[in-house]
Amino acid sequence: MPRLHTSHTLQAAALLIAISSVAACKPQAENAATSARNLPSDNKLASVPLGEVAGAAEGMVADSIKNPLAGDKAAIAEGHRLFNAMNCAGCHGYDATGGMGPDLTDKYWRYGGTPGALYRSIFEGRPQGMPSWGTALPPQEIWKIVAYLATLGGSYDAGLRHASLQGDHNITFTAPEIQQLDVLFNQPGSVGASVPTSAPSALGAGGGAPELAPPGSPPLTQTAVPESRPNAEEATAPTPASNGGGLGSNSNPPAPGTSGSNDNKPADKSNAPAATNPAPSNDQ
Amino acid sequence: MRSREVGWLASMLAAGAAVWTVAAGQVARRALAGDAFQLQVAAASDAASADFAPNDPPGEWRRQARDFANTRYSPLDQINLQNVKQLKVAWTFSDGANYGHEGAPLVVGSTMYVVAPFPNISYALDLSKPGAPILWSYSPGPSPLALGKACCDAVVRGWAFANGKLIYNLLDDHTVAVDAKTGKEVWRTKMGNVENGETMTMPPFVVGNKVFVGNSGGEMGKIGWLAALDVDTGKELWRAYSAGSDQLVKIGPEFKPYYDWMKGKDLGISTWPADMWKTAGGAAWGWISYDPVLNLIYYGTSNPGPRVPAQRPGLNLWTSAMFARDPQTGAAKWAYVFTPHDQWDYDGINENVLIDLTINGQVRKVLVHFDRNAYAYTIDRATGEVLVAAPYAYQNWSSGFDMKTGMPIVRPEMQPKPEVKLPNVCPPDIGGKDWQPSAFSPKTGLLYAGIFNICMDLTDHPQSYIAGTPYDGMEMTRHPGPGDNWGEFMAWDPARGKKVWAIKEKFMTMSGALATAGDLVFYGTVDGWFRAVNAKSGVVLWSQKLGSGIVGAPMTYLGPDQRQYVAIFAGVGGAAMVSKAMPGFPARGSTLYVFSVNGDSPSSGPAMLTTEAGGASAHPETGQTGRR
Repeated sequence: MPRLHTSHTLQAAALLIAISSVAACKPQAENAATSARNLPSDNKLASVPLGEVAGAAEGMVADSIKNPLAGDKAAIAEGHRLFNAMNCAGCHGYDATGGMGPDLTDKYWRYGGTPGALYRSIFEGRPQGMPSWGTALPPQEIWKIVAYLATLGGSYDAGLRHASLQGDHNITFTAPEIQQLDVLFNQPGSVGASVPTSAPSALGAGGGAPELAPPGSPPLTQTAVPESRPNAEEATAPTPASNGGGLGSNSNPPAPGTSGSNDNKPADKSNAPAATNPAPSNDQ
Repeated sequence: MRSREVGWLASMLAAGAAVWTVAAGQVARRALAGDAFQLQVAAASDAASADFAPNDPPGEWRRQARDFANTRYSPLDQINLQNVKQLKVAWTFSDGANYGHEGAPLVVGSTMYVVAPFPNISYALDLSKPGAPILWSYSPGPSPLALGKACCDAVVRGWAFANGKLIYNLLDDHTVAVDAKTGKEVWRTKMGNVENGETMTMPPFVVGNKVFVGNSGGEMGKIGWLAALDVDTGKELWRAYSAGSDQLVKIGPEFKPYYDWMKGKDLGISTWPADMWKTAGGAAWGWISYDPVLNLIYYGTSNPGPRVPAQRPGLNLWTSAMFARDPQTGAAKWAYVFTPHDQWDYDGINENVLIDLTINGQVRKVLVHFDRNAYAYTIDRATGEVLVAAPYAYQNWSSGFDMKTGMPIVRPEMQPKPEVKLPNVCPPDIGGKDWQPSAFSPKTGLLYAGIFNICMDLTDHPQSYIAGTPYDGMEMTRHPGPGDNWGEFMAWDPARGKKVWAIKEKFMTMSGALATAGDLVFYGTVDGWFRAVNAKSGVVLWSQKLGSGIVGAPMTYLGPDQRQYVAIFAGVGGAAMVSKAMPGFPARGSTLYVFSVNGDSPSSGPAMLTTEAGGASAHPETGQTGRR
């Protein structure tokens, strides 16, 4: 079984948060240079690298980031609680089979179904109404929600971003690929060199990125109903904003090896719950 | 004083009769769900009529319910009991939008106007030519953000025609007016902030030079409002809120509610825990009607927010209620609260049909309202006094109705407690009937409505207010009530508070109703059957299966060829999706079906073998060719 290299994960997470929160509109230096080099001059055709799916591009979602809390029972339970408490259930349904928002238990993911992609969708929000939770939820709490979603049968394992985007519902890793992933996840320096889906990894470029976030960001407080009502016109979350913290600031990192049972295994479709419940709230 | 006229429905349901008729005035025994509460032992006569102002040309359908009174009654009778069996498709039209199709086409002169659900592209169709080609289309390009903020599908519930303009609401909180001749935008007014969970789905309603629009977002903690805009400029003239201070609610010296408990200063604040009125809900997402003699508009307000009642002790005015307002100033004249401190999501937004009834020898100007809470109300529309309140669908949340206070009597055991599952609450959140509008025929004196037979298992989860997310908290599973039918189409006697006949439907009956002078009533089912019924007997005379489920509103018109047509959209969606797990639930669709006797239409025959060019798209870059 592959083992999660915690410091590497934190590095990757730190990179993700950096990209998400700081440099979302500013390409990485290397990418910018690449782009500039390949821009067409007058009367020439462009010669630029293959474009990627909006919102899920490799440069934005590190394919190989694994959920540091994957499989952690306490984290999953807390993720489930947060799913209800942060009103996720109001849109996606208490059984997560969809309503105002999409079904989170099936294999259809517009922006990718890997842990990194799910993290980013929660952190940044998505254009058709998904709010950005990066200002309301500390990274570890987002990972808990991702850990919960992984139990619903729809999400993809780290490394399967392209499969999730290309509709490969039944993809499985071959033995050599699993070996490659083992190498990948155990040797931070080599990250990105051998991802089966072949796109250059952001982790490769950012492998040496420092941990950007200061330690000790505040943990999430209880989301009880606020005593005083927020103004109806202001987007006010009941939790303290902690985007200064960043991913790497996980004050309670999981021990190596706790990341769990589903590392690098293809998702087991037989565990997917049947989506038979009617949609929630539907009356306007 | 109250008397009980006990009904007969339950026993008939138990007998499993699919269709039955009962002579008016017949009395029998029944249980909880069917008692009619009235002021007196009614010696109601059969006389019932309506003011069909503004008396549009008989062959046209210029507003969603055809008239100010919201009768959905057409004086056309070419299609009648004798020839209805010969109805066949004359032509069809797809608007390409796969969300719920809830509105009725409008016909003005020889042009039909339709507006698609999101992204709300509108079309003018030339009825004078074979196949009704597109004269123009207009694409307003609403924000895709709205898709994730609309609680119950990206629908549009209707559109309005006035002063040569087509006026409608975009899901992203803009009201637009389009030149009906050219399809060019005349004005666009921003009415709200979609990012915070406010959307607009209701059909604008025009009186004179004012168009009235309201918001959706009662599930998102948005405070409800109704606004008046100038038809020609789009300028906002007034806005009245559903909670807050009397000033915000437009309650002043003219406000005279019938019941004492609705009297007092700033009840829109004091009936809430501190400051919770700011996230009150009470959205005005339904129908508006207008009495030109009393000069009052009538409309209802949605559920309170959050939907968890334990979080908002108090009567929660003015949610799950209705207002009568002066259309010029917006000033409230009276209000009535259908479900004080609503605990089950019983919005009060359903249509108010304005009719005149003879009760005890007196002609009473009333409105008839089938509330989500499963009571049908006959209310004096000048004063707000409840004359009749009777359940029209199975319910178990109340044990009766107090005619003195105008309040339903809540059964304590049916009040949900946080995090405790409360099984078998009837009706469920979407009510005994949702927004799907009823019709009235002056020929029978009856109202016709598609209703539900659904219950829910309910668990409340207390909610935080997080702007732009649901302020909701009701976890539900829904199942059919007594019997295994989800739907029913019924004829209702508004003077006696009684069902006259009913047709059980396996699937939900969530279409509007249409009544015609041909003694016919039309409705559709969620599994896609469009039916014509004998208005007197309730016998189904004709049915046609359409391409998707029907949640739209049927209408009828006289074509330029002087032939009568009946039109209905098939495109399941909206709240009908609560039953999407039913075996046989249809796929989405986007098609308008237009029927005539034998399928005849302009230039039937050889002229239909060639195609004439249509008009140009008003916005070709995003219109017909726009891919969304």
